[in-house]
Amino acid sequence: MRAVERLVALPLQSFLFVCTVPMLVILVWTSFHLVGADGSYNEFSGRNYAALATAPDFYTALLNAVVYSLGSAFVAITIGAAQAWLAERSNAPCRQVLYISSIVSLGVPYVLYIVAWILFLGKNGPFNTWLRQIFGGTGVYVDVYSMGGMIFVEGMLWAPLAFLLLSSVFRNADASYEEAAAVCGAGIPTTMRRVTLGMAKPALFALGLLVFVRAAESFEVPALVGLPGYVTVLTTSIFKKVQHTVPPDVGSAAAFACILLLLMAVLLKLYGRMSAEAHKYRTITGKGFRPRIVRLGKWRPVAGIFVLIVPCITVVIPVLVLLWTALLPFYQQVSIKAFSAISLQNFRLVLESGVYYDTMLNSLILSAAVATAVVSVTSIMGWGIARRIAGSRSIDFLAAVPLAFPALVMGFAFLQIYLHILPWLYGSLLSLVLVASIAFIPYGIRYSQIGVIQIHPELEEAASLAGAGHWTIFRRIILPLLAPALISCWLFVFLLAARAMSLLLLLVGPDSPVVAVALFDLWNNGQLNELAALGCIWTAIMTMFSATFYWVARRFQLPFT
Amino acid sequence: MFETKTLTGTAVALLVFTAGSFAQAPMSAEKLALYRGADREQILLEGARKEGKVVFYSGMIANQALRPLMEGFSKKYPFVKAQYVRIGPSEMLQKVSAESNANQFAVDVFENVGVETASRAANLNMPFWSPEIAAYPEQFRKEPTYWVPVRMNYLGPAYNTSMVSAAELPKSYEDLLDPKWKGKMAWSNSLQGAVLFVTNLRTAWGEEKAMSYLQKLSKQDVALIASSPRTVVDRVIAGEYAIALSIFTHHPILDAKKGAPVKPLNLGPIASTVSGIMLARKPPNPHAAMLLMDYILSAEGQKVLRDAEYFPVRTDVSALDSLNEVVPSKSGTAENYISPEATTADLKNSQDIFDKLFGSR
Repeated sequence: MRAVERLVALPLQSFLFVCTVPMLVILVWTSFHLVGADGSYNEFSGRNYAALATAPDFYTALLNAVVYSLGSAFVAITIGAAQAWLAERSNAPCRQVLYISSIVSLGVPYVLYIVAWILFLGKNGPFNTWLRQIFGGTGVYVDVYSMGGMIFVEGMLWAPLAFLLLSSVFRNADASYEEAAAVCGAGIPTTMRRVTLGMAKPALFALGLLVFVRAAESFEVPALVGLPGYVTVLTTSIFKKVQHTVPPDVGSAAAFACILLLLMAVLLKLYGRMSAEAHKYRTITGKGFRPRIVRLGKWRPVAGIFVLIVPCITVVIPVLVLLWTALLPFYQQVSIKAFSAISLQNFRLVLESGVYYDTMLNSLILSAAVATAVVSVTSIMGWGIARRIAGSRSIDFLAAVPLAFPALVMGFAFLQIYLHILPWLYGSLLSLVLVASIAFIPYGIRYSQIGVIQIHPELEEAASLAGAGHWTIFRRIILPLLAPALISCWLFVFLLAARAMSLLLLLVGPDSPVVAVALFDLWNNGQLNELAALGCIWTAIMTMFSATFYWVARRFQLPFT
Repeated sequence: MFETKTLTGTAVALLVFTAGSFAQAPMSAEKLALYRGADREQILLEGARKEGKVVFYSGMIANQALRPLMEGFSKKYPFVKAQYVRIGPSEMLQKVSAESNANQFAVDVFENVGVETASRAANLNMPFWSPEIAAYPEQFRKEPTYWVPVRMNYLGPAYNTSMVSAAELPKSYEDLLDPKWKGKMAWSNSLQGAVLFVTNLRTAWGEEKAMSYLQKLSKQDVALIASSPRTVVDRVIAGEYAIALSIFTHHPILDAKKGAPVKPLNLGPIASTVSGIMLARKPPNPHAAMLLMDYILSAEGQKVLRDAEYFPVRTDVSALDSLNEVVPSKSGTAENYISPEATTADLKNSQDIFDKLFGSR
């Protein structure tokens, strides 16, 4: 038994080792060197770290990063969990709207999303203008360039993902516990608090951790929303080291990144300890499972309002702002004068320039390839980790390494790897697929792990007693039960890859332009209206893709529901 | 089969010989870059035909300048596939440095704002010669030539015309310290933004005056936009801020043409900088690279940039008249030319001053 497990584990371990260790080595090595003007590594020294510890803004940045990440995780998980519960376990009206809106908002690249929010919440944006009209005065009621603004925007970015992930958790919850609670006389609130949420705890914690880590590493929101108000977090400090100095101070940036890495390692360790008790939460058992729908009664209209308001915030407003911007020659507020300036000129520009077609095609190929690669590799890994096969701890550790890397830093590390080890790959679309696949392995793992944790081993044991081998069990029992999780995983990674910007910024070559990087470039070039037009077209394409996919997934799940 | 190959080879060698060319091994990239022989053009064309490709990294705005420029080149040399990556200065330095350290250049020619000295220090580029250099102002004709400017930049403030009335228009840098502008100004965090603003005042006014001014300015809550100066103009157009500091002053003119409520603010000293074109230290396509440099430096190439509403540097191609109001020599505003050397020499100090006065809260 153990021998077979080792046979499975060994290639996985070696694969992960090759994928993750080089970038780790490059990062640590760089952090301990003073990097010269020509990018050469001079003496080995701890001076980068010493400089960090004495930098006045290091501790502010650290504290800000913690507040920002915690806040974002809280916002995303609260909203996502509330939506997921309403959608899966209640009879709230218009529940389908939640799925549609989450899918649409996942299709909106970060840069677009953030730009839309800045335009909407800006000092002179519609929101402040309305507040001024309501309350009078000329002041700024809401300052988006603040910690609160950062938490709001980042939290909203992750809420749809949290929703999609948690909806599968609530969907698959074992109803018998809730029924038992109801039999014992517990009301809806008590059942929810003590049973439903209790059972979802590992998933909530895992997801919260994911959002926390991603927020701590995120670059777009701190840069676009935080910097104008001079709120710095760890990543903006790294960004400043690399972007504001000529030549880039790569050594201290790497030292910053190493500290971040260490923080992430501690958090992942915590998570590991927590999930050691995961057997308590296996909810897909050999018994039939069919979650109970809670009747909301008089609360139904309230739930309906919530169901409609959140998608307004996550989708309708950003998309409307983008559409409005795309129709104008330059950005202006909604007014009669502005209406007369409306034209389709920007859309024409985007559609008539052949460059954008290649860019969009590249992005689609990239995303599909990355999603397929990640799902195939991580379904086996996730099972191995959840079932604690021999060597699973090292698989778990190695697979989490990319999670600890800020995208900017990982992009830099891979630039070195490609140029020194795989020069023939440099600048190709394949090189982008490779780096993005490695970056998103942790997400795939979390997905399949959550999926496997819920499947009681009694199913596998039964199959084993009936004479099935390891491979047959995986293929005939695990895979079909895991399918919903894997399909969601594919979709999730597909959309993440389509959004990836800072990861690919340094790696894109003349033959491999991708949409997210092009959008960032348009923003920097002040082609805001062209950006909005390309953004609208791209959002529509992504929505079509994800909607089709989601529809197929729902069909696929019919036997379970 | 083997014989046919050998035969063709001999025939080619004979042809080359009779044509009076060198039957020697091809020139090294270093030699080629500096070659001034009468047959330069012919050698470049022949070599470029074999290479079939050239890669250019540049910070020019893609649809406005970079694309037309590369299209113009492709029209002239259809046998060379002209490829480009549009990239900001810091990312470009990182990318080319990494390529250089691995000795695996993908780039042939590169250009950006404020990277000439850093590129030289990092040994990313090598000296070159082009017959076109003769048409450039004398101050840029130093040998060995590591870079030649292909565009001029003027950096100064701009304002939103619907937020700032003619009466309250700042007439000097001092006027920007008026409390009514507190929280209503913005600048970019890029090398051409806040830091260049600091360098401009330091080099124009001297340390003491600049420092006392900047200390007062730091009380004005100037917003830091994590993007190019171009984006700062966009934020001003959107009405987020009334005044942009240290932006490329021709941008507001282009936007105003489309009806945007924005105008350049002619406050001297206006900083002027140049962007130089450079040849990679080990270009994978050296012949095509030289052809591309010739083209961009030629009157034809500079006219493409002129029509894209950039400021050409060549003495025989002047900028469009519509941009006159922001050319200090034509508008009568004081100009402070900051050479690439000066930009880099002052960078560290300006950066420190910026961090100290305007750093994170």
